[in-house]
Amino acid sequence: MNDEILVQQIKSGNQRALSQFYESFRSEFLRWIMRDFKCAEDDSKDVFQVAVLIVYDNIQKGKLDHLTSSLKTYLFSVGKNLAHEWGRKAQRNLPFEPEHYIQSMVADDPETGMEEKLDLVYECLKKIGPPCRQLLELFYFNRKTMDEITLALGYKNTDSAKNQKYKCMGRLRKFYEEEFAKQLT
Amino acid sequence: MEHNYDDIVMLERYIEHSLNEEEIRKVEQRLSEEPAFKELYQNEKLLVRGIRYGHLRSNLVQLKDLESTLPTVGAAEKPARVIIFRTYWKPIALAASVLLVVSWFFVFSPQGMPGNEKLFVAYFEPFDSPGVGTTRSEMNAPQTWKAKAYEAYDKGDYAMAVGLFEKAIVENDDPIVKLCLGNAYLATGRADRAEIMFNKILTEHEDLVTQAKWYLSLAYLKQNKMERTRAVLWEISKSSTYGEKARKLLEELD
Repeated sequence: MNDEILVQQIKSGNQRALSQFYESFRSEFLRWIMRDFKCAEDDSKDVFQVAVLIVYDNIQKGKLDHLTSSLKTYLFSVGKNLAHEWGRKAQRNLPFEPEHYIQSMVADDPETGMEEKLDLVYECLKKIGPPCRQLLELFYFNRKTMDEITLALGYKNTDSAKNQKYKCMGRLRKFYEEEFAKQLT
Repeated sequence: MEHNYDDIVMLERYIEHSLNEEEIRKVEQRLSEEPAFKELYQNEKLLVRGIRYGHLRSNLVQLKDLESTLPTVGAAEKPARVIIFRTYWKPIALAASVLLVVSWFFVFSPQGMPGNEKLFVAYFEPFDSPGVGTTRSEMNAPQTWKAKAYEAYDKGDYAMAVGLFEKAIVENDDPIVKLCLGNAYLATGRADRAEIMFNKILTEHEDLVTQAKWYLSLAYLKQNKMERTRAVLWEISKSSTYGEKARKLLEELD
């Protein structure tokens, strides 16, 4: 599969394409990072998973729409930076935590307590139910338009989809405020 | 906590960058003057970030699940962890035993989601659609819902394909459309709807029975309906097209 098709499939939210992307470069990446950075196998896997997710996120943001190098070169350059960071942490006996990198991918201006708040929203997302979660993810993560969401999720029209999105955000907000209040007491 | 509907809509549009210059100016002015409005904005921003974070966390889980099914990759040189293992082999061995018992429980227990999910990922390969515009006249014809649906399906845009196939079904009662729709449901994680669609093919059509049964078994597997999964796999285990896969999957389930 060529890079353009793979990028297009990942951008459309195809979960299989993410797995394909992972499997396509896994062996080469892991061997490279274990050999050149003396990274242990388990840590190499963590670094590779974060690198794949960074590329995946950048694809969703449209940063790879006009890719000047190959997808592999891009992935490996992201991986190289992460491997250096792993090395710096390893020297100080600090663990390489994928969740920490995911948090910094979504919050470019991290504030105190952000990690706990994001984890709390993550827990609340599990409560709002799959249809709501899918709608919100299509809009806020996959950056689909309301017209596309209307078609994808089978709403009667765009207004129904918009209305549903508002309700879903309302449910998420309510759960979050309840859980947050519980934590304060 | 009650919130003003207009404020929320305004802030959502601000976050989505869909306000005009004048509206942006008004929002930013209120943000600097009204603490309550600012707090509401920060919460909305957090929820949007949380949605993106949740999606990425789920993808990380997906990759970790996938990784656990893949073979080990050997390196040219032994990593530093070997030393750690030599020093701490006893506690590590104990931890590994505990992990093995826990994993065994998850794979073989009635709620065995992780094991079944891995099998589903390993066996689910979407049905090949007949494609779009196989003849010149079809290529020149205006695109029908069916053609648009096949196009999205072939590109792997299953979420979009679902909506289009649902419209296509209204136009004509085609078992291939139903099979592809069922597959698109499966690919987007809606196994309950996929189950209904594959059962529809089996009750309403005489074609594509084996294909429908194969994917029906995967829809059951995805929902952890193990008895039904086994029963359907057994039914097709002698077929020439899916028999081998069905037998292999049955063995893995046992």
